[in-house]
Amino acid sequence: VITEAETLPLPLVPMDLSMPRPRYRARPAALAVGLVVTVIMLLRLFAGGVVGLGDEGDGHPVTCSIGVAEPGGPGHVHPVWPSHHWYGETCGTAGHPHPSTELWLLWPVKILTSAVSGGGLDLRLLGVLCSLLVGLLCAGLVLALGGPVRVRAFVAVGVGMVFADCAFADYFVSPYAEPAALLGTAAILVSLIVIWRRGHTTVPSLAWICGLLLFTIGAKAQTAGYLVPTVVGILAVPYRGILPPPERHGRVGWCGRRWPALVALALTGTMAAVYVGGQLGRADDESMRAMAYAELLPHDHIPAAHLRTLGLDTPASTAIPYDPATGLPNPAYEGLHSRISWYRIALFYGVHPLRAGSLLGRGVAAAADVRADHLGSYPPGSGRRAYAEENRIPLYTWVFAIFRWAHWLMAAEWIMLALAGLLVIKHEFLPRWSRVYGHLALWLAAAAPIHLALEALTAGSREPTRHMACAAFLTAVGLPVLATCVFLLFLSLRTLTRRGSHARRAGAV
Amino acid sequence: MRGASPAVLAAAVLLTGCAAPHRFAGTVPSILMRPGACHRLAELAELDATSDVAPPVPCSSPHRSETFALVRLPAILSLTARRPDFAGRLAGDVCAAPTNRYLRSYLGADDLDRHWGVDVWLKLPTRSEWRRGLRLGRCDLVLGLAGHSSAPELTHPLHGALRRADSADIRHCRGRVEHVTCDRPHIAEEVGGWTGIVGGTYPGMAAATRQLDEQCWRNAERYTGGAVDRLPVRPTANPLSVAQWRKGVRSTSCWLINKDGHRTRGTLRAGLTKDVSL
Repeated sequence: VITEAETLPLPLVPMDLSMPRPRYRARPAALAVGLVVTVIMLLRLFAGGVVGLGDEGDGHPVTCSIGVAEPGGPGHVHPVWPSHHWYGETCGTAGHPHPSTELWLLWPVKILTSAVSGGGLDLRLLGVLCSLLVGLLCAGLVLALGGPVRVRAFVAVGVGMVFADCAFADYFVSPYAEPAALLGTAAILVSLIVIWRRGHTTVPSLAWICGLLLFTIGAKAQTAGYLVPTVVGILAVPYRGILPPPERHGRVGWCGRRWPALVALALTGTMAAVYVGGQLGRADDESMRAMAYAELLPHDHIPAAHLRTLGLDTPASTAIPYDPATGLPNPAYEGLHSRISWYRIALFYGVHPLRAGSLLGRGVAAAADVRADHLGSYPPGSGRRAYAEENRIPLYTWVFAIFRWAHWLMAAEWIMLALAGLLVIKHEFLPRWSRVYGHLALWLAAAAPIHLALEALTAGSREPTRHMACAAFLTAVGLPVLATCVFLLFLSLRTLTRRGSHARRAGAV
Repeated sequence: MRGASPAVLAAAVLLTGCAAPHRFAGTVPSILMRPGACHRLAELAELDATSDVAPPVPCSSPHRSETFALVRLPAILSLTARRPDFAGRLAGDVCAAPTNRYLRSYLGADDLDRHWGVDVWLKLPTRSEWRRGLRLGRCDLVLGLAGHSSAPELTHPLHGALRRADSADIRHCRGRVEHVTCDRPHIAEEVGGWTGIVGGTYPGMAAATRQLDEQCWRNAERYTGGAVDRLPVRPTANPLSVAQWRKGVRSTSCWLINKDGHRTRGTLRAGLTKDVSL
């Protein structure tokens, strides 16, 4: 028997999910979370001897710019790099200078090293600096996120533990550009959360987000993939600040309420395109050939036909830059340089979805590997063998062991993130602050696969696991966010059920 | 956050300068490099780089390469608008002529000396020099890797090195099977000079061996400054079989083999000077 109460529409008011009331204020909690995460980072990097990541030459293009040289090989991490004077084309990628925002972290560290020990580069100081920045970002997350402090702290500590995990923390004592890319990624998230929570953008907030985007792209060009979800995330909220737009309706009104964001995004997109174009142009020789020959040839069942589609009609003769017999230049190879382009490669994968799927599948497998096991974690003289890996905090590494077992679970996580994010945003009864978590989940669900696809397309055939560090990082950050979204949906479901029960009892009475 | 934004953005603009790579001053154009110049090339990236415009260093200081010839590049390379980025592969062809003509005299070798473990590397002009039309190749001498991850360092010039006492690191020796430089443990050292058979017919294995050993002994006597009988070594020529003879082989190599088979380091070459005379 259906009672009258059950047929009545539920009241359209947001639920109070903050029950029981939060006992902690946000600022002390932020301070506590920041401190705890910083201490955890410092302890895991330095207690019991410093750990980091060895370099097999990829750190050279960036670190040579500040006049240092690696003292050893990739089997061990070398915390102190001595000064070295690089001349001419010996510094950079194949002789080309390699601008990177990682230098924003390395320059202060070099100045500090000079002050402390007289010269060179002490990567341990980079570890200390990054630990502080990670703590700041986690504290910022607590302040920026909405809802009960316990929920904010859970997400912030969850993100902090991603940084502290042995899959990512080692980068902070390494010469690679990943520290800037990972910190930039987290900073973009904090800035976006601020505008999502406020429900509008301002000129400073737009400047922050665009600046951080450029910083992150400057460290790792493939993070240009973040532009797609960020554009959607910024345009999801209107502009409100100095010079507010006139009130209009329709599409003109929609654009009018977002014109500063549209201008800022257009500028950011242009600058990013110029930088990424320059980076890809420098990497042409190596990366495009790697794409065509190291990626397509071994994994394709009709490589000759597909190479012809790319404009490479004689795979055997065009693959080698020199004549193996004489060592003289191979004219076919020189011709290949003018025929192949990133546009053609992208177009090829666009019209060959099976090849693109296969490429992405290998990208997901590389991201699931999460740890670059061809690089050592311990310094020489630590008593550890070369290439030994540390396992101080392997929390997310354990989760990724499941992803390694079944790669599709990683894609499943992205899909669940997207679904949970949509449900949280569209759920009419959830309080306004909870939508921030929905936006966050959606951003991560979009950014991770787009970035992974760009990495797989441009750099995935060489050292794929290390190149997928940001994609793995986004996937790992998605786990506490997904847990929070599911928790919010569960609470809303429970509250709805209780209301239904109350309504039924009231009807019975 | 709003209050801090202008300061942070200003700092970011200032820091942008840091993101641009630093260019190091003090380079020396490729055209100014001269034979006999030594090059530090301490890092693998410098050794592998297509060009090198670092200022030369004194040959008495640690270095890894020494220029022994400058060559005009062949037309197939000169006409290329883009500079090739694989100079290492070109060294054998581009530096062949100076290697065949000058290398032994550059090293100070006479007919009794056999050099070993010296590689010829090629450096090309920088991209900007190439655009300005410079087509000069620099042929450098670099010690072979010999199991090291990078080329061994030198602290003396290779010019006239075979006339000096510290030449063991470029002389040819061997262990039981492996070929090494004489500064490494070995059981035999090669002696140069002619060790072969003249005449129109093969004299038979026993006669050939006797003839070769006699020539080897004479060469060894000159090599050791007349001390071969007093040294714990046995001059031995590699055999020359009838099959080799039929293929046109008329000479073989001569070795000073340690009598008790123990391993030694260094060279038995006599008449070397200890004066590096830099």
